[in-house]
Amino acid sequence: MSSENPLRFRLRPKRLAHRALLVALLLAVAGAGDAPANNFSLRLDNAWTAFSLEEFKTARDGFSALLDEAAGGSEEQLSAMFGLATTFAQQRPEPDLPRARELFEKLAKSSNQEFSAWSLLAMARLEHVVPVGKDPDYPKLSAAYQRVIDRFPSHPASEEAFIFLESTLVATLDPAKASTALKNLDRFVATHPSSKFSSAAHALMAECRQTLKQPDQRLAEEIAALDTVEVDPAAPYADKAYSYWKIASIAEFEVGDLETARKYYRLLIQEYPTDQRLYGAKAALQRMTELETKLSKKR
Amino acid sequence: MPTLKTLRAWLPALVIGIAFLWSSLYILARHREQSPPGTVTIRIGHWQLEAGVRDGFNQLAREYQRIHPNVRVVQDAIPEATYGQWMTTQLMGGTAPDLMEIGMLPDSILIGYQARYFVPLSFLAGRPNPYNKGSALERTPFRQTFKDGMRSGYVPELQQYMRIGLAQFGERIFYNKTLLKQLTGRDRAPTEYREFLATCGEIKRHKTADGKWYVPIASSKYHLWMWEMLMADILTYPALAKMDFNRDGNVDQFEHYIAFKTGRMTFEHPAYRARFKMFREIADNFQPGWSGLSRDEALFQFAQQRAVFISTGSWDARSLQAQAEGRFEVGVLDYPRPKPEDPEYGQFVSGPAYEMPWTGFPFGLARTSKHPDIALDFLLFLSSQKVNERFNRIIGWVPAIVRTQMDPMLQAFDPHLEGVYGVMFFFVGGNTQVRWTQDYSLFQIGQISYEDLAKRFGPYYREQGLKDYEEVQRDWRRTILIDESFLSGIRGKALLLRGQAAQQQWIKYRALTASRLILPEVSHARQVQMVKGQTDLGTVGPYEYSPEVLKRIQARLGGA
Repeated sequence: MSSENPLRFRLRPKRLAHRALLVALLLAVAGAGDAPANNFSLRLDNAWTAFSLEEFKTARDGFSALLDEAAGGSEEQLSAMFGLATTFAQQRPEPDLPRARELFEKLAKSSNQEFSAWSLLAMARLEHVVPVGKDPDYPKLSAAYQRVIDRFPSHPASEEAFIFLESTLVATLDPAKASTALKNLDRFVATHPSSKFSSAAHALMAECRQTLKQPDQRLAEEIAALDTVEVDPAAPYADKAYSYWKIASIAEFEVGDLETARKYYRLLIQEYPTDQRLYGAKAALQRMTELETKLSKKR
Repeated sequence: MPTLKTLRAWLPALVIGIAFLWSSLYILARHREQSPPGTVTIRIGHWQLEAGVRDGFNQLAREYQRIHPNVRVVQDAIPEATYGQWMTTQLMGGTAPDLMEIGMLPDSILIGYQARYFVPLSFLAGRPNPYNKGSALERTPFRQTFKDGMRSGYVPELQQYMRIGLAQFGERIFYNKTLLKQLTGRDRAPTEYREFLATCGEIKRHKTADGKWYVPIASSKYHLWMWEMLMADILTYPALAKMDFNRDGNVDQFEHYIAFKTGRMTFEHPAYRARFKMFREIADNFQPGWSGLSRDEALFQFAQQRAVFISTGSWDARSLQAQAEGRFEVGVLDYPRPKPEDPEYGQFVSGPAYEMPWTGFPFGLARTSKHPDIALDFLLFLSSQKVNERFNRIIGWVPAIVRTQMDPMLQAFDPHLEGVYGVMFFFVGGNTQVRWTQDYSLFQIGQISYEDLAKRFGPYYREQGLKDYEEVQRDWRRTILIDESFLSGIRGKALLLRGQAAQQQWIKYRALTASRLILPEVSHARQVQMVKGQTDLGTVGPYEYSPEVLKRIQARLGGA
């Protein structure tokens, strides 16, 4: 019986100790030169973990110590500085925005594209995500996003900046601004066919179409957003069931396109048999058939 | 020679010394008995004092020990009432059991605890459970071996699987078969609503040997939600068509408020009237004073054979069976539903209540565990197909793992995966919640009618709801700040990673940026506009055909 258990080796302390010693020796021989770097990476990772756990003081202390230790101008130094700047910017209850901006500016001026681009975006986000009860300064905010776009036109941070910038127009729900955003977004998806933000761009275009009361085009954009969406395979809540239901119901009740509605209701039924909307999707299929029969008889 | 006086003076110290020595020896002996030299002891902490749980753990621990002779499993079974405090002190003091049942504290606290004190278990999700070797699930990823796809173990706030559930739970009506037969002559409980009401009426006409009236349903404030959610609330499902403005298939408290504020929905809606009428009919069969009774008092009434029905969860099944043993037979009944042709309710009830598969009895691995690999291995053992089936058979619960067998009585707890759900949500924020609770309580105990409830609460809801909404918006803005920080953390880690791990982290970052930061700003703006009455919502509901759409459908049919 015991030989069937693949984890059995873990439970033999002697064998485990021998293996651990062997692995440690191999690691020591193979990576002797990298030991300080590995240690640095591990400590950097720990500081980010502390940040994620909202243990901001620990994170700050960790990043500060690493910043002091790293060689000037090295990637390690920039990593630690980026972590420290982010902690100053996000720490609660009181962020230290002047220090955050100072560090982000330093990073933005560095020759490292990665940290420079993300730092510029982080500064733009500081203009956008303002404390409760305050409104963003939109001209300043637009300029900050535009700065990322102009300096790093092909970097993911720039694409994200563009999407955020357009979302400020879309969120006004003003038809004129929705038209402007629509043109910009349309150009973006045409010129960035493989962008990882295509789905978000189409979703914003669908919102514009809703504001402009154009249901057919809205439906097309919702479908495009679904077709280009990136689903995190590790997250059980990030599924397509909501998109299927939304598209199907727009097709049925706003566009009158029952074929498209059927297609997406069926996808929901097939792919998500335990979803809460299963009953509703089946009822919709029956309802549409009955409606068509009724309308056909009238003709 | 010590005098009597000296002896008397030393007696307390002597007694204390002997007691201390005895305790130390006893602890040492127990420790040696549980952990002879060379053995590893795994501690498991939980609050399940129900019949069978501790036996189940002991039996499975013995089985595990047969495979791994050097491992001992010791339980810390803590009463429910003190579990939260116990868990807190154990975690903060660094003395937590290796495996700990996670619960009995508010969600916000538990999220923090899981982040700080428990090991993320996401790495297990995609691998097969080694203890399923030789079964049909041998190659199935761990996550998919759970009836709920391990959803209940995932903490969205941490973006990690943090716990493993070992049993599934559901709610049904338990009934005293013997008493039902004796009072009504029926062998089986009625499954149709009208027949159920008639049966309750028959029961009420009989007296116990001591001259007290029999009660059809033993209920309490603890048991109430089951009757409401699984029987009455589902009548409101048709109102979804009028209120689901964001087309997600559900109605939240804001959509509900918008619908009432704009007059699209009123208390006059026939589905709402039906819901409150059904509630009254059910509650009229509870024992007098039910709203002031506790869970145990209602269970006691059922166990004393003064009531025929009680609605509770599968977690009580074994205890109820144990209490009934040798005295009466217990049956399980699904919630009775009206027939489609029922003149009052038929048009509103088209299916059973939807029940999301959800796994409970969740355990996490403490960061302070001295033997994390062994503790985790024991947890994998408990959640393997055959072992989980045996474990739950001992306890009398429903297994968490797919394709497992269970006690025939528990088969009635299989969740309805296709069904309807309630869409009634009468509070926007703190003030409306307090007022609704007060007014609705008066309706529940029959002091005011539905019409009075509508008159008392309706105007307050429409006016005060706006103030509540504005307060809640501040909380919404705070959530955006938290999400911004959360995503900064994900991005920070993504920048450290390389290869496949980096790719996965960036996908997570982009997916969450879109779903938590980019699109909510727009949908929130739309919601604010609707609340403030700045949007023309049209004359038809989101799931109703407008004349223009009907024309378009007709035109398409003509073209086809």
